[in-house]
Amino acid sequence: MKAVEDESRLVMEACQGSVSAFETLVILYEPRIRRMLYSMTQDVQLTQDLCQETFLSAFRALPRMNGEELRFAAWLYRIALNQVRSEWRRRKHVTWIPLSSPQGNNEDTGDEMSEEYLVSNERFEEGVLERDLVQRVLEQLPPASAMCLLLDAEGFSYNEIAETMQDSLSAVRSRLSRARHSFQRIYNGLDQEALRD
Amino acid sequence: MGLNEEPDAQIRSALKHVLAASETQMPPTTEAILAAIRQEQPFPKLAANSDEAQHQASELEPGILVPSIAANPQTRRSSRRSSVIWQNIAAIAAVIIIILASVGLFSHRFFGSLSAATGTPTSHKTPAQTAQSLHSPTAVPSLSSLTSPTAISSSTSVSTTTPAPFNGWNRVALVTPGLMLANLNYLTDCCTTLNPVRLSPGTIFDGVSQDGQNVMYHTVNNGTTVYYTQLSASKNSAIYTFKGNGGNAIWLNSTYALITTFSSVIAVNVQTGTATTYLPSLMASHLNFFRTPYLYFTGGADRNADALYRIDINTEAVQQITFGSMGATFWLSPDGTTVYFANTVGPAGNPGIYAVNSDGTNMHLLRQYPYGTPIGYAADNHSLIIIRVVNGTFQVLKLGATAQQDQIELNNAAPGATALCQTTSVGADPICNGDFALAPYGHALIVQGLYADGTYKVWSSDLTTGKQMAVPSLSGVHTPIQLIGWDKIPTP
Repeated sequence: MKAVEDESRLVMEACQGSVSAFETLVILYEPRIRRMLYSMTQDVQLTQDLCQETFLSAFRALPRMNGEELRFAAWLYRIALNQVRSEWRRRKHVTWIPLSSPQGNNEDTGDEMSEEYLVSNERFEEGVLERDLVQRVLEQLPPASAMCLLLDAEGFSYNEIAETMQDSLSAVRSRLSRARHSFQRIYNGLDQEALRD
Repeated sequence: MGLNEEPDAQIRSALKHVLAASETQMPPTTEAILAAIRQEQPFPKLAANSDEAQHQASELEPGILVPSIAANPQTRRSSRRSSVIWQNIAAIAAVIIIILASVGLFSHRFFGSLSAATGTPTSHKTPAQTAQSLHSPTAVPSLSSLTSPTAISSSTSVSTTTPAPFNGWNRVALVTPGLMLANLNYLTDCCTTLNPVRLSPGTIFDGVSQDGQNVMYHTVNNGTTVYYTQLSASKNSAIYTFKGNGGNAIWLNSTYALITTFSSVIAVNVQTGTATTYLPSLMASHLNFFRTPYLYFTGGADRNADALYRIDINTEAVQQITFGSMGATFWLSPDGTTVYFANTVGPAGNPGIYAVNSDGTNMHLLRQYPYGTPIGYAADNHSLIIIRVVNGTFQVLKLGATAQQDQIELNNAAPGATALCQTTSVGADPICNGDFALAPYGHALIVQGLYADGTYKVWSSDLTTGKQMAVPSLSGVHTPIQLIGWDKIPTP
């Protein structure tokens, strides 16, 4: 209860312009936002940028929020996920010159990185491969579905997910149900592929 | 991990492990965030007296009318646009627009010449007064308010030479596989180089101006954003530098562009490079189009990143126009009354092409066409043109009042192609925005098709004759081009 009360107090103070209160909120929430964004993007630089933009956007928007009514966690996650969606949208809808040289090879660093994890510890290796498989499943899901699943894994209630995603409760239930079925299907498919290989 | 027992719990558990691993793998960003916050400039405080208000106003470019800041700090939001002069100018502009619309002279060309005649960089005309209707994406120049070619010939511009067909719209600006900005003539071949300097990776194109004479793009490096224009083959200019990660720009007219900094919107005079704060409080992720007195945008702060909003530049009132539709591109009709978009993977609604009044009312499903995407407007400057996938072909369709009245303009825009995208995967949308460009008069279409062997082919289709050709130098290539939009940039 004290932690919740402290956070409520911090949010109110931040809404009233307290930079130190907001900085405390940054320290509290940065790990959660960072891991959510990295789970979605798997890109260190992009995650750094989106993370910073998330908190800067929150900092700029807080003065016009009602500190007593604001559900800070859902609101902050909404900003973060909007940053991701904006980035995907931006990459889809603007004429975008690829960062890689047109003559150069686009190295698949994923394979190179995974080699680092092939250490002797079998359980560690299994855990890494499992996470890699789950990550690949996430990448194949529609972004909104992946977001819902990750928010659910973070412990958000259906109501909180609906608020974060700006969806109706029924839409969230439906989306989560479909996402889980898709997750199962894709996971089983990739798992069988891996076994064949 | 078996998913046979309690799959929901197992999925949740697996994802928790992924999240935990992500927190370990991704270095903390707290220090950088705190440093950025400490450097963040606070919002300007309201002037406590008129002298300070005058000082604040004088910091902005002279000649651009800006709202005065009210002395009463209690009415902070409503006071930002409380200038009587600003309101009167907007009202006069609205009356002019209504009068011109009623006599059928509401055309881009008319306004273009009007602003050229009366507007100079030092004039007292606000960007809002020379507003043009735009549609998204800005990669395709919006000439939605153009009338037919015969009407254009009666515009205020005078020429003693025979006007070029379709008013000279016969070229498409693009980026070649070698990262050169160039032009393709839709009747012949590619490429005429517009800029001999190779573009840097990561360049983002904002779009061609309404008159086709200029193209704008920007680069972001080390937290600094630089905006460029290409006025002709020999005139490339860095017009504005923003110290931060800037967003996209849209053309207000041939003189001004609006840029989102994600925490505000600024207006830049592309000729002088002078920047003015236009909407100091608007946090927009992406600017879409401007139609007096509204600026349409998506996302920003805690708004839905996939929904279209609009802000009244006079009152700063924000309205949500559409529901969130992930991946959608929004198109404003030439008369400014309707917004169209395709909903493919949205949080609400059925997949299809939707229409909504530009004030957000009367949202309805226009056509339930799978993978149908709006691409522009027909020669009548009214009918929506779409591309849709039908039995593996990319059919170009002009929508009528009813589905039965829809007309096929082209049976297959890219024969043999598997997608009009640079990459594709199972279940992905096979039509991508950067791979088609419909001419302003709807008389021609350029598309880039991806083929099963991994090669690309650019097709040029004359929609008035039905003739189609694969652009010789852009067929069977292994690296895609980037289509920017139709232009009239002078080339040697």
